[in-house]
Amino acid sequence: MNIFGRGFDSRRLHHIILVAKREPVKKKSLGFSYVIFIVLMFGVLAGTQERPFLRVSVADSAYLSRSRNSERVPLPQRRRTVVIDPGHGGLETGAKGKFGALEKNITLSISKKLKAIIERDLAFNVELTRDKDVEVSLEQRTALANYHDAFIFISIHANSSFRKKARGPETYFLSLNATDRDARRLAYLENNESEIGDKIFGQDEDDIKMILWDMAQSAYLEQSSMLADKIQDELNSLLRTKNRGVKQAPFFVLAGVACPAVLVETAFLSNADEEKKLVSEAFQRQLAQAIFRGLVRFIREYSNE
Amino acid sequence: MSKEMPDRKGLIIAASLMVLLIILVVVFFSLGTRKSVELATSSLLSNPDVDSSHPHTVKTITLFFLSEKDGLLHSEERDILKSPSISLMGRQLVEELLIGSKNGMICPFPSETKLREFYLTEEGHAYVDFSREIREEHPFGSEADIATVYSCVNSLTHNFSDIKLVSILIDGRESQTLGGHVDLTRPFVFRKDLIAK
Repeated sequence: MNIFGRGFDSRRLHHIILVAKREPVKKKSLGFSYVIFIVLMFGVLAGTQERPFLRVSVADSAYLSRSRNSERVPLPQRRRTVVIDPGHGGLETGAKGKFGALEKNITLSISKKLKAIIERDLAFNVELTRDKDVEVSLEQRTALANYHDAFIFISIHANSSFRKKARGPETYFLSLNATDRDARRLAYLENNESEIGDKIFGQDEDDIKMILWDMAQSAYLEQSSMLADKIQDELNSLLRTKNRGVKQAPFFVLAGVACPAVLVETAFLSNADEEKKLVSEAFQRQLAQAIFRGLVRFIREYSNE
Repeated sequence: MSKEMPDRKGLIIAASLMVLLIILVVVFFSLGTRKSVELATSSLLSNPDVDSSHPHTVKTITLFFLSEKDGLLHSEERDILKSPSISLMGRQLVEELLIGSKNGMICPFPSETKLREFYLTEEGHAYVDFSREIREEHPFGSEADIATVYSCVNSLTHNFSDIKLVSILIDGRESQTLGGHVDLTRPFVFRKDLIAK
């Protein structure tokens, strides 16, 4: 995607400029090259002024096309979207159980079940970051959530540990490293939460705000913690696990998401007993239902606030 | 007179060149970025700062390994050779981590993992460069990711106050994640909540 259309390669423009500098060129053609160069530069400047999203680091192609169209086509009636992210996929298989179960297959299966339950029982759109066995980059997963202006983002995983006895569900939300830079970003976002929305639709060109994109989750930590709490509570009830709690970690896939976001580690594939359970359709359905109940509890509490 | 002129001219050129050379040598040794990065590649045995024959040259450090019981990091003491170079001691610490626990705790690194390099900047930012086995043989779970990263980060930052930030490299390069979860593109700081009380 670029402002010159499909056939244009920006590296070619770079190459054209380099060639013009290095090779002796006839005076007439040199003048002509300068004219072309100036026209092209005007095109670039005009394009970036109209489309500030070109400077957004996490924007993907789908997001870009939406931002362009948003100027012409009115946005559809607002119907909130839940984005479910089946972890791993394609060659990136994730964890592997002792009996050969692959994390990527289990996460996709649970995610599809969760999507079906939400669409059946709630007035939400549900988008999956992948609906088949393909590799999707972590940036694309994050960008998809922001493109859909997601209300909630849930990443589904199956855990694995060096510990043989490790078992039980875990729900994570983002932890920030308390470096000076991140602390400053967090402080800024906490005071300017409403501006996150502006940035999604590319209305603001302020460089500082654009840099904040990669830590968009910082503004939603409280809600993410609440969502993690509800989901973990339901998973604990389902699996009768008392000592498993909500945890925080600096997970890449959560950092750029501009809505409450959690990562659910359903059970341990490294534990033979849990691996057997995880491949069962019935257990996967139970997990999906438990996550759904947690989601409903969060929505109720969130809308009451 | 006319015959002497070329010799004199040659002498002047030679003298000028000598002066220029001296100036260049002085400039070369006196200038520079002055922002050095310590690279702990030299062997400890060949390091004159380290003398293992004297007990006062031993430093007791605390390593953090994973416990089967609670999934938290537990401490274990170990002696390394004392050195005025934090970088050299940091390197020893990571190598001791990779050797594993002597108290039956779990070493949260794949067994074939090697330490390739250890760098420390003047600002206290350590870069620990592991061999590719750290990822290839990893369990690929969130818990495993966290245990590996913070066993290293907490051990380094707990023992050396000069080390404030830790970044993990794999095979000489910055990687996005270890097993698809923990973000390796940002530096890590000490995390107390992962250590058993």
